[in-house]
Amino acid sequence: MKYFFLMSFLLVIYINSEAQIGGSYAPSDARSTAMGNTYTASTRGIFAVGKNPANLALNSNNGVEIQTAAIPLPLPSMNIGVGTNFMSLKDYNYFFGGVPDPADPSKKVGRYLTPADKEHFADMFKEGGNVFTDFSLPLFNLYINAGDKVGAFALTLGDRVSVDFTAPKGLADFAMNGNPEGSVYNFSDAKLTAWWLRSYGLSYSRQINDLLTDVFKLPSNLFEQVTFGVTVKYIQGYAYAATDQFNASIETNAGGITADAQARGLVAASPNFGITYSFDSLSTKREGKFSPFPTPAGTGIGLDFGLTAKVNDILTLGLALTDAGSISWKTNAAEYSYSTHFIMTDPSNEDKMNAIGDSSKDYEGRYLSSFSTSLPLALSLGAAYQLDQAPFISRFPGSMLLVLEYHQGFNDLPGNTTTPRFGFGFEWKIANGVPFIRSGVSLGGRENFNWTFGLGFNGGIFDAAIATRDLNYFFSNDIKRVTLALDTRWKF
Amino acid sequence: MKQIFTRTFIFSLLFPALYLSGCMDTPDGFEAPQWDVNLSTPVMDTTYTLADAIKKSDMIKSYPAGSPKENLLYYADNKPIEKVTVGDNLKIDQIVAQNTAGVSIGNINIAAPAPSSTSIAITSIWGNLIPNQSVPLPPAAVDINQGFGQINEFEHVVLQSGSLELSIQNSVAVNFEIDNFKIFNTDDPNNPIGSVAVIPVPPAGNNPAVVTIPLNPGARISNKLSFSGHLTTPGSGTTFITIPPKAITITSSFKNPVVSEVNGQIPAKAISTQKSFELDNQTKFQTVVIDQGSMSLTLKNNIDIDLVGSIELSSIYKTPSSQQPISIPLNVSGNSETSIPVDLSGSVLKSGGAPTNLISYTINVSTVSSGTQYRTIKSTDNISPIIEMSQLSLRSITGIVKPTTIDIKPTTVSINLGDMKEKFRYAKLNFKDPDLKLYLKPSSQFKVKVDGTVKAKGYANTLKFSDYISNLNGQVDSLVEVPSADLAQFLSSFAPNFPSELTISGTATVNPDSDPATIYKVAQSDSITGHAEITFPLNAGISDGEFTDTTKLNLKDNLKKEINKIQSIVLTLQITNGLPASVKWTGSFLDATEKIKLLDLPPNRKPEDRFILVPGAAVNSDGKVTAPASRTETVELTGSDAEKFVNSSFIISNVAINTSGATSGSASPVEFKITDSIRLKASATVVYRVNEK
Repeated sequence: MKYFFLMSFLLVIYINSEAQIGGSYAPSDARSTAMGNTYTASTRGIFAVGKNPANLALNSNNGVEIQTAAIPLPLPSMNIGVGTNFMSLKDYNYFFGGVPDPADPSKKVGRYLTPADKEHFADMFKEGGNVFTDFSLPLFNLYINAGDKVGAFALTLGDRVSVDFTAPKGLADFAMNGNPEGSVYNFSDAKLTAWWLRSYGLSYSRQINDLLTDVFKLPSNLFEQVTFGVTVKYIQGYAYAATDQFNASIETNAGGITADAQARGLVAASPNFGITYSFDSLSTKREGKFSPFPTPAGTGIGLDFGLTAKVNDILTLGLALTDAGSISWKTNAAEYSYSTHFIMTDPSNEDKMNAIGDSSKDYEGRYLSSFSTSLPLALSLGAAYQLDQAPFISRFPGSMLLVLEYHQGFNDLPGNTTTPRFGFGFEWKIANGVPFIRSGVSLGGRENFNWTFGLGFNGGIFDAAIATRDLNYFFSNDIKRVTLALDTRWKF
Repeated sequence: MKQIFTRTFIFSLLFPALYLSGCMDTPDGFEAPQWDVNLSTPVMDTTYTLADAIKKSDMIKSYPAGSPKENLLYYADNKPIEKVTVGDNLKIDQIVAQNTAGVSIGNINIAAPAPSSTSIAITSIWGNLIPNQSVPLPPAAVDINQGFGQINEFEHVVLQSGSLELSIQNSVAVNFEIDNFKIFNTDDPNNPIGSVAVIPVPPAGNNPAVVTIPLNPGARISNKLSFSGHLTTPGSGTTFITIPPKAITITSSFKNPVVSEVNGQIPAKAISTQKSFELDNQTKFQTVVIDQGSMSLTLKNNIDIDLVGSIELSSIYKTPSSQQPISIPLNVSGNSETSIPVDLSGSVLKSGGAPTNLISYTINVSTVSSGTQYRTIKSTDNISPIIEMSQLSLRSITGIVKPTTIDIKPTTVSINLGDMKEKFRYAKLNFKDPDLKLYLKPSSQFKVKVDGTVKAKGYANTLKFSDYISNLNGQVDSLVEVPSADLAQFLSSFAPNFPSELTISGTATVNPDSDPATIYKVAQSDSITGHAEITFPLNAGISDGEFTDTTKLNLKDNLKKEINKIQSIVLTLQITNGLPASVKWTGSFLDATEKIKLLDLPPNRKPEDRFILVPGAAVNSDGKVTAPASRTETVELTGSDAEKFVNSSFIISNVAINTSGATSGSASPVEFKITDSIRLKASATVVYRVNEK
């Protein structure tokens, strides 16, 4: 039990930068993170890759941008978080901080939880205990803007390792209250998805004003600039493990304890990992072999589409559909399934208990010829408004960009959720020499609410940014997470 | 550039520091909290049905749904009865038939001896007359006494009938008259064997006077006869008569002599007689095929003369296809006997009509003529047949068969009550409607009476029964049933423990009542097959029934290791009584050896109060359970009691059962059905302190 709570509160690390595979709520670059995790209409240059490729061609002062993990200066590109989405530090300290030992006040002993404490503890998990760990490493990102007529290009190469685990809501309740008669616990919301993907992306974006006027006969003055972008990603999957189906419940009543579980998991792994499945008694033990370019277990094609309309210097609208495509896992593709149903009514009956035991062992694994998984397909709509240039503003200290976005994921793959999310943020440049001040809120999605904040620095040949998406905890003792996003891009 | 780098780096450090220092306390280390959690688990849920108690016995069954005794438990065993063959039991005992009186030869018709003549001389009448003189003959009266010549044919006879004819020829021409004429044995003149009062004899020149003198029956006649009489004549007066040499000539001849005894020459005489003897005083046959057996014919010849002839066994034929009965030639010397063996194997007895128990035979013999030899025989001399018949083994008999008893070999029916034997004790067990049935199938159509005995292994008690096979068609099983009441009493006598086996033996008697009206055919190969079936529904009255069972608890070892973390245990016992009888439940938790009681249930009560009483289930008018009764008791175990529970490995349940009326000693039977049960359900809610050190 001790380790359960420890693990529940362990570091949840987000290291993220310009991930070419995103989703509707995945941590983003520091600038976007600071602005309520908005980016559809507001990102520019290399940071637009994976978010809205149409933004690549928007007028930028930079002809070339480079981001690489090989140059972590002045700031490394990372998005790191500590905490959970279900337990605050205050709660942690209350429940796990201990109380003075009555026998020796200089020492601490575990707190005895009253019924109210137990109820509170269980309530913390009412929304489930989700742990999302995402590690994205931009191995090499190159952005080249060849001008309005030619368009902008981006070559990206990056890895992404994601683990999305959801502890079932009923688990804490079960742990606190046991299984009194009449209790029913459903653990079917437990979920695990983990993968390691490598994306080779080629993005292209170009202004399409001519197309709109010549082909669609739109007035030339309707938009100041309209760009379209597309990213084609060749995706190699090195590892995949996920619950494809998980239904579990435990019910205690006068008749006994009824347990049901049906689970199906899919796995695939690169041969370089040397994984031998438990069901495969015929294969010789495989040896792992390190390689910077492992043999993929699955491959697929992903597409990002973007359309951005700069109405004028004040308003920009963006639309992006990201990660359309799928991965077909063919190497070491396997399925584990487990199903059990038992009613424990009479532990004294060895036959019945043996039957339960036999039933509980009734899992099996087998190779599959292949299976496929979608990419975290998401749709985003955004609007960026340059407030300081608004006609109703006569004088404004510095410049301020307002951003409003809507994100809709179409699946629950890592970084994605079907729960809609709204983001609102701003970027305020008060004066030269003063860092950009960025902040915003994110409503909905997996984390319900985030107050984001960050600072940005324009270093001439580089931009650096720092942000947090959990500023709300800055003003509260009830902190659940500490997150920090950093990144740097070199521009020429 | 350097400035920008430096500024950015400083901000990068300040921002997190400011953020982290302002928004959060550091974690205060880790001390796992403690709390009490209620862990509920079923401990046991055991349903004690009588069916469950005896589940190891395949012999316990239940009546199927929809039947009048639906779900009622019953014990049933079915064992084949060893084939019983009539075989050697079809037999006729040894017979010795002797005609002690014999067959008399009877009166004998002997040949009449040759006539014998004698003459009365002139001188015997007139004294000095000289033959050939012619003289007037004076009247005369003289007594005469004169013998005949000797008879050569016999020395003597005893006459039964017959006569002596006298032919009296007068040679003198005067009339004579013989008065008081008597015939007698010469040596016995005082006992005449015949007489005539007056015999007129006409003068010469006339036919002789013929007189037939009846002879006295029973008179012994020797071979020398004489006669006497008084002869008178009136004379010739004046007429001269030439004197002949003889006056009167008398010739005697036996007519139709029948004698009862004779010593003399014996002519041949036929003796013929038809006899019979009784085969069996109860068996009457139309046809009998003899498998094995023989007979001996002995003829005693009690006549002083040889016999020849034959004896015909009128009812016995050599083979079934023989058209003529067996005939055996005889040749027996006088005053001797002759025995003749006859092999009867394969022979057939035929009554020729209605069933009979008599075997007829005819003796046709004849005495051999003695010729000139003298033999002495009497009418009472006889021949005496003796027939000895060995025990006859019969192949078949058609007729009225005497009661023939066949042993039924012992058939053992086991009573395997499974665990019930070990787990169920009782002072009295009254069964209702038990059945012990013998299903028998005779191969032929004959009436059979079964006299049986049921014995219980290990007990002296016996149960006798008798019944008839009712179905005689020989195709389907006929039922022989032991009276249920007798069987119930028999079974109830074995308290407190059932015997493990019942052995059924007895006899089957064919035509047990000697039915004279029914003709059966019984063959040596006829048999009786069948099976014995014992069934006793557990429709029983139980007095002081006691059912004990031990159940392994399978409490997890982890629980035992963490006893210090258990604050208390709430044990809920629910006893649901589905039996139509009240039960008292008591229990104890035992250690792993099953010998040491760790904790009694319910705990902390006086021994006399330490039980949970559950009333009997509700039953309808048919005695069927309609609703079980239930009782729930909650026991909180703390401290050492909780520890004892956790350390226990077994629970022993004791269920005392009494049907209504048990206290008065006459436990009324109630139906125990497979659906009737006693369910003991125990669950525990363990108050477990998590992270208790």
